[in-house]
Amino acid sequence: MTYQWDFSLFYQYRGLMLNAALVTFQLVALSVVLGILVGLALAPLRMAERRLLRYPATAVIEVVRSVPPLVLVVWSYYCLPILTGLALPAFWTCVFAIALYSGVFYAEIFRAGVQAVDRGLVEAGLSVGMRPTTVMMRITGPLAFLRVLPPFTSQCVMAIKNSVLGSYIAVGEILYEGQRLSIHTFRPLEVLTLVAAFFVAVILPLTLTAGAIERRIFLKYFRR
Amino acid sequence: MTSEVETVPPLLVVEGLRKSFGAVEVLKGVSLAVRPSQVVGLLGRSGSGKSTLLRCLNVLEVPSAGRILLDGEEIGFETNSAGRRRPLSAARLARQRAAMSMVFQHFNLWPHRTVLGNVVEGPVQVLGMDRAEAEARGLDLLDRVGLKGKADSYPIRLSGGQQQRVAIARALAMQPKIMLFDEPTSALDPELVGEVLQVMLDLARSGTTMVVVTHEMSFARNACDEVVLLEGGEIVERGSPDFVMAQSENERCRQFFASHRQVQAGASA
Repeated sequence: MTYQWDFSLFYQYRGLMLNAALVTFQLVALSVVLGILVGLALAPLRMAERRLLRYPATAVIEVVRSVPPLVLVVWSYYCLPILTGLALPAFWTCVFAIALYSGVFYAEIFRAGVQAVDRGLVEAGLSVGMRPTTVMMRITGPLAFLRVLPPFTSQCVMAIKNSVLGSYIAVGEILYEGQRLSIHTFRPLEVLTLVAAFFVAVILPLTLTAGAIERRIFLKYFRR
Repeated sequence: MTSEVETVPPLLVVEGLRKSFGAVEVLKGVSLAVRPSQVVGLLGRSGSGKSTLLRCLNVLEVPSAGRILLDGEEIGFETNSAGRRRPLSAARLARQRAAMSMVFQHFNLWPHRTVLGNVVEGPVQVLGMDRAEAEARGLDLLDRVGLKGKADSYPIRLSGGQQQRVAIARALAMQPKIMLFDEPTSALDPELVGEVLQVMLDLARSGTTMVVVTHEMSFARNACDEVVLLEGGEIVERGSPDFVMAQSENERCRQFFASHRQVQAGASA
């Protein structure tokens, strides 16, 4: 079989594809930032000594974690409006659903990081007269973040990939527009390969950069 | 001369301090007084409660009963107008802790800050000192412990003895009323113990008020004005190093120092 590749259609439909890429970037940026905020909010509650704070946070984390992300997106789109009477556009439904989904994972990552910080470093902060909040901001927080950089990066990558779930509820991101275009032009091979290549082009530099930063941090602060 | 010293009111007073972990009572009513510029050594076997006592002083462990007074101010608790005693707020406890710096067995330097960064962190964050001024003072302190040249290194690049000297500089930077040392040389390789003890000896001679938990008998003998021997959470003997370590008639006291001399003889043989 000799397949005749034809990439000229990308030039023809460049506006459509660029716009789809832009929607993906917006979806990713908003859901990652919101997801990190959700994680930063949930992690302290999850670690709180008071059960009144800890139990609800734990429940949210465990429930959301157990739902497949696609189910969460679809459920939020079709069921939430019925339950609440509040119908959000598909784009924002997708942003919030993915943010919540990745947020519970961020929360668990941050918690693991904080709990891995040597208790002695916290005591050293307390013993020079820092308040617990200052200790968190100056010592526990930064050290926890350095320690969890690898899983944090992985979770960011997951959040980027999960943006394609928007295609299921007709958010005009790159997979949705790519599928439409491939049907329209009968060129799935070119179009869907481009969609896959797009994610490699976005994610690979990110993981390589993160890996280099991790190595530098490790050598600078933690290894003799 | 002794009578003159006796009339100076104590800086630190510990009254009937008790501490339990679950059902185990680790401190069984310990009382202590430390006068300004005095160096008090806390001795005892591991598990005798000496570290717990030290950690109670700045409320890293919350005492179960008893009182701690620094300069007449109760540490960690307040008694309200209705006469009810309750723990201090985090902010007020933090302010009290700033006046009593601690040096830990495992140094506990912050790995993500340079040596100088470790020293200025407290003054800048807690005392609100101007960073440039804090750094100038920090460099002086590092000079005093012989590590000015390491100011820009990260802790991981330093030997254990150097790290502990930085930790001492960090504690001094707070200009504390009293310095607390929790077995500062126990985690060090033997050849690094001397440099840390020398810094502590210099501090003791310059009039710093210190409470030192230690296994170093030579330091206790040379630097301490008073040594206190704990066993099973109680004070079994106290007094001048010479008295406690050589002259005391107390049987438990004699046993402790006899076994220590054996260990040291064994080590040097």
